[in-house]
Amino acid sequence: MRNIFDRSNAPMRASLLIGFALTLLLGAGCSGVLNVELPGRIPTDLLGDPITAPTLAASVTADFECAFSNYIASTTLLSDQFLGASGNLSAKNWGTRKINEDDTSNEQTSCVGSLGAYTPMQTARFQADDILGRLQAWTDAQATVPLAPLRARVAAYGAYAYTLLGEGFCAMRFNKEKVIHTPAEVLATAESKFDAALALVNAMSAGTAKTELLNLVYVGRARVRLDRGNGAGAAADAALVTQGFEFFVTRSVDADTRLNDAWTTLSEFGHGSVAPQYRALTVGGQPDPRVEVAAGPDVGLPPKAFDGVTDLYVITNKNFSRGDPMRLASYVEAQLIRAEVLKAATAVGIINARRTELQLPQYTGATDDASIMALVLDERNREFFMEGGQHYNDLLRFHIAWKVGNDQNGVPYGHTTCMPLPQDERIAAGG
Amino acid sequence: MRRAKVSRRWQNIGSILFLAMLALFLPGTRARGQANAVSGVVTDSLTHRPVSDALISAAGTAQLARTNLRGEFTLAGLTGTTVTLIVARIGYQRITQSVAVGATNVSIEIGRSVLRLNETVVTGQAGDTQVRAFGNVVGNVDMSSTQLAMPSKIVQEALSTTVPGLQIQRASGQLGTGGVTRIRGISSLSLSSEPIIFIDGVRADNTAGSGSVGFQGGGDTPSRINDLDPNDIESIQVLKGPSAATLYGTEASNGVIQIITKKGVAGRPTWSAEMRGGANWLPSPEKLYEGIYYRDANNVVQHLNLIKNDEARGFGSPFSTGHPVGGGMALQGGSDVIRYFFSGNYDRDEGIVSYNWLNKLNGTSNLSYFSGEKLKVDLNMAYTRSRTRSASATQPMTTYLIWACPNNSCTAPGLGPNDPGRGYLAGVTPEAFKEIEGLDNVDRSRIGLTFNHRPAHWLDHRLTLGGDFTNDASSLYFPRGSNANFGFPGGEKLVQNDQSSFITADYSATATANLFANLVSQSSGGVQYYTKKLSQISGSGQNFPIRGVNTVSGGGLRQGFEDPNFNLENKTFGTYLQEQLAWRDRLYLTGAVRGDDNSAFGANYNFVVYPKFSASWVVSDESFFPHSSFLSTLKLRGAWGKAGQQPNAFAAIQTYGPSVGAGGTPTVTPLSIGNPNLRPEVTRELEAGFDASLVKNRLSLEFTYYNKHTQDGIFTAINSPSSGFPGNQFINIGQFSNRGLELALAGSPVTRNDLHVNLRGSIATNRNRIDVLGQDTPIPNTGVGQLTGAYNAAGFPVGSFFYQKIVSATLTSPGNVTNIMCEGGANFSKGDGSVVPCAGAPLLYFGSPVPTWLSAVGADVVWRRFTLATVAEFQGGHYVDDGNVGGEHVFFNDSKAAVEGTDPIVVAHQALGNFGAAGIMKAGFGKIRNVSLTYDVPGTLASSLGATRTAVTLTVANLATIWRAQSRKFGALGQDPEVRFNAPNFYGDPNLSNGYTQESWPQFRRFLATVRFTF
Repeated sequence: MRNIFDRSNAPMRASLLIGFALTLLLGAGCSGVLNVELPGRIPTDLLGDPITAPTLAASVTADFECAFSNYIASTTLLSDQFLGASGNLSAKNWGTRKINEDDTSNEQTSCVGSLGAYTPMQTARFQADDILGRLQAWTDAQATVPLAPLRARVAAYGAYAYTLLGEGFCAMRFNKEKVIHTPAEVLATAESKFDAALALVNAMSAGTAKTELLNLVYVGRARVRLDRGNGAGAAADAALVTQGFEFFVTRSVDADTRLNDAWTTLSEFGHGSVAPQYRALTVGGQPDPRVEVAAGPDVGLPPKAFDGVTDLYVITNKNFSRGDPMRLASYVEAQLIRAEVLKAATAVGIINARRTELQLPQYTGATDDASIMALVLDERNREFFMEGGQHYNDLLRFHIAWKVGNDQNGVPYGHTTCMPLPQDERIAAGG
Repeated sequence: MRRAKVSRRWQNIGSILFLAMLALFLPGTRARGQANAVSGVVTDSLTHRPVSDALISAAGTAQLARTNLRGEFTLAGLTGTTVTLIVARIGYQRITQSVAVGATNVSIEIGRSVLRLNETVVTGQAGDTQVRAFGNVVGNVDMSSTQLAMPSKIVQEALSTTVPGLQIQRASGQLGTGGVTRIRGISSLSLSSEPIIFIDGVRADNTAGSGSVGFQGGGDTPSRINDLDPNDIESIQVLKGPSAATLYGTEASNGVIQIITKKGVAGRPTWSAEMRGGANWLPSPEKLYEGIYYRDANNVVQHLNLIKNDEARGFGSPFSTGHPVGGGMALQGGSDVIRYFFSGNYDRDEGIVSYNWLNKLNGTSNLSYFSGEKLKVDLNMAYTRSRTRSASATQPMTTYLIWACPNNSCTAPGLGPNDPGRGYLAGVTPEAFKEIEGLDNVDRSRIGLTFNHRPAHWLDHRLTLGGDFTNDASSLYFPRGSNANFGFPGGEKLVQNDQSSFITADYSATATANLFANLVSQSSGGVQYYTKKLSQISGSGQNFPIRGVNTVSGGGLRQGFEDPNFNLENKTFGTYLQEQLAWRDRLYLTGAVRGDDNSAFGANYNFVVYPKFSASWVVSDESFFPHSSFLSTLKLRGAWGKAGQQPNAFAAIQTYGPSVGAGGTPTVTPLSIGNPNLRPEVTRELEAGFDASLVKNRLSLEFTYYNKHTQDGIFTAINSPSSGFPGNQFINIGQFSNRGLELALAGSPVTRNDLHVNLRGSIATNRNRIDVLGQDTPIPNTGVGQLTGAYNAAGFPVGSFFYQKIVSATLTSPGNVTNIMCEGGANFSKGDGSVVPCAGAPLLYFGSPVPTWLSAVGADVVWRRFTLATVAEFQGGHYVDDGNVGGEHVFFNDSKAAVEGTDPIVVAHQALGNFGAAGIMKAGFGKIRNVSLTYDVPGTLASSLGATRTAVTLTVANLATIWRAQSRKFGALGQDPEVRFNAPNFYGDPNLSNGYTQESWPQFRRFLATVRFTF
């Protein structure tokens, strides 16, 4: 056998080799040699299959639940229910209300983190809008499942996302438009989203699921109507809520996005500590079971928060583990909406009924509007402690004075009230 | 599973050992003593020591030989009675010498060269390219010589002072960490500025900062280039910019580092052995961490030096002295047919805290097969196994030292200097860190197969196939019951497995033709295919039932991840054509064009073309050149070319990612918005300069001007979340430039019989500037930039610092100010000198994180059997945002100024929460990097040890900081002006261009004694 590198034929064979190699490589270049795998990534066009409908609907729930968890952790710090007690600069800024429009954690890049709700809530909103559109374009036959319950649930979560974006943020932008919306405009949109959700819920077959979603939508619409100053409408919706109704956002330890951030961030990792004024709440001298507080060592946590200085106090009756669910809407909320709107004896009756349920002394004070309003706000503060962003919303709705001066470590409080629209959004919108 | 893993590891080692044993049985001395051969020794005319790796050729023939570690060579296949030998080696003058064929004891002395026009450089084409023909300046590091004179334990140490314009931005003094390599400034806004690396022609992992979870607590992580053993490297060549690296195409805009490992030489087997031992320590830590301040219960300001306080209380220093030890052996030899180089090296290194150590094992097997004069096949294999325990598994201990007694917490029960907390931040004393275990286990294999074929005298072609494969298994473990302030009192174990795979297929051919009597044409072409694949899988377990359980599955809470952001694949397919015309071997004109397609280009963008032109003229070879004793040699050169850089594959495509819903339901969530219009960032560069030898060849001068301009700059813009997609989006905006001068001098001012002095020095300048941003508003650097005020603004360098500039404030009482005034002017400008209230005052330019000049000076003094080698490095013109200092003044309030509260400017910074501005400092420094003294043991004594040569080298690295542009800000001391984060995405900054440091370990001083034997 002749050697391929036989010297006498070397130039010719070399040329053949070159030609062969070039042909091989160039040929390969033309036949998908640059194709790459995208492990763990799903190209958008794969979502166009109707068979994915249940997964997509569940995705809306998942994204909203994650965003809601972040919203609660963030607003709990901003509303001063917890002291900021972190040695981490970013967390400390949340605790001292120094969230500027160019702050990373206000415009954070994913829902894996726990402070900052803008991006997660925008994702939740987008998912709801986008997937509702997909679900409405498909038929039950195409999806091989009944789509009405999926559409209704997706619409309800979307409406809640708009509500929280309207309540908590100073300004808003949607879908990269060249428009910056006021909170009032966002809340108007939220109400219309609830209207649409209600129609979709009513299209469902009767049953437990329908009842649950009806209650969820009624509480949500009542909340946003109250935000918009439509007390009568709010009270009307609230009156339709079934007694004992509660709706929770689920949490678990399956993934970082599933954690109860209010527990992990504020208590377990000690970035916050229950503010002193909430550590021994009573009603008529009796401990208030709605805000049960314990020192860190009493529940197996360190005595000091993450800053190493602040005494660590945690709340034990809610958000007490990584998998604790977080209440989104309830009959209690509906009733307190009614109390706020109807005032006077109705309000006192609602509040005392609740106190009876909690075995607390009855309210016997003044019943003028101002007193009732103060009473309702105090009840809301206790009832929704670390819950739903309700107290934060109250501070904003009623322009209640924010904490000023220095925190427990001498760090001055900043000027953040509502959460700012991130700088990049404002600039991109031409604002 | 464990069995299988161990088995694979041993298979790798076993393969190398098998080949080593095989090679020992191959003929090694076939040519020796033959009548048609010449053998002898090549020595250094200065030191009279043997010179290895010198290339010996016989004029008029194709016969080649290379000297071994003893300087020996044998050149076979000769005819006639005499032959003219040509001896060439990097760093030496090329000489010719006539000898009789059959001579067996030829002695050749070669002198060190000041100008190296005849050395060959690796430019991407097949066949050799001589420096004289290349229109660019090439950084050339003679590693084998450098390692003998100034031994380094990591490659980056050797690079930082030898190539003008190349900067190693060190991450920290933590053992196992590396740094960022930049050549001629920062060439990208958001992508890496890291040059690509080839090892023997095969693309290698050039990750500057690994994502090892074992180093999770700090911003400093390992750099993959330091996996290599410097002792296995023969030389490193650096192509500095696009005009030199055009043939490498997409990805080469940051330059190319070519690493050439040692190869076999013909002759009898030569063994060499090396043993090392020494000490690593932090000099005077009590002065580096000089203490903090707080007010006691009586409101009196107290100073606390924790290190002294600990020592006084019997706890000793939190720092310790590490003891590096190591050794290695190499075997080199071969015949006319096959040549081999085998080496094995082991190192145990210890850092400045007892829990920071590194064990590393390297093995290299390089085999060369020759089939006559036509074919050479190189099979290069290497294996590295290292195990490192980091010092920054959790937030570094320095954190708790620097920011002790925050906000007067030393008055709190248990936290005072005499309490259990001893004043450390949050009461976390140094002892607590020893039980937090961060480990990094690296297994890295490289294989390369290169065919060099010369089928005809006019044609060279080359095929290189190879891969670089790294498995990085890291872990982080907090035992149950570890200090609660670390955040995991129930315990936590994180495990992470990162794999990288770089595959190279490179074919090139060069045809040479004599067009006319004095005009030679060299036509080249080639195709290349590169793939890069990264994958990561990780898991975590928390809340262990009892102390001692340390597995993920032992945790009560368990999670697993395969994050799509770290599972990437990128492919490049490219081709090039080049034509070079050489007139009378002194004037060279080169033109080339390179085309690339890449998997990361957007669907709307398919192919990119990079052109190149260069010229080189050895004007001193012309008859009209006025040779004089002052100017001996002069080469003029100039080049213009382009190269590019692209992001990773997913950047162009809109994707969703899998997520988890209620009850474990599988769900999807928006992940990456993509950019279908994405195209590569393209940098063009103009380079011009000259090389000259002066004063009777005793002085060399190398001067270069460069001007790089990047267009379509890729920026990682924060994607508007209102789109529904989180994260960032790669977009092409902006134009920016780097330009500067590089000047290198080397000479031998003293050359007496027994005393020789060589001096060398270099200085390189860089002016980095964003010329066009592409949008009106400056873009903050993501992550850390937003934390500290680093912005990309038109007219300023990349990632410059912008803050409100406080000029005055009225102190009303200690710690309280009013009337805080700032300098006015336009936002993102240098200010106009006016004074305005700080509320609403503009952000003004403070400085750039990029050095505007780099310099290195070195000297070798040879006296009899002693050689003293030293080098110092300088960097300047840039700023660092020192988070340690800023935190002391503003956030933790434990600096003297912060506690006293009498400096109105400091109090004003506190009032405004101006953390970044309180820590910004000039970062210029000068350090004596290395001082080494080598003693060559007399031959008789070496012989008594059974060796032909024995040398002892004593080395001190990081001997002293001899200059700092600024060491204090408002009285607080910055520990090390040099260190910066290199961890990817630390605080979310992918660019590594930031000038921020915080908590990092300062660099330690190292003493190393090395004994080498050659047998």
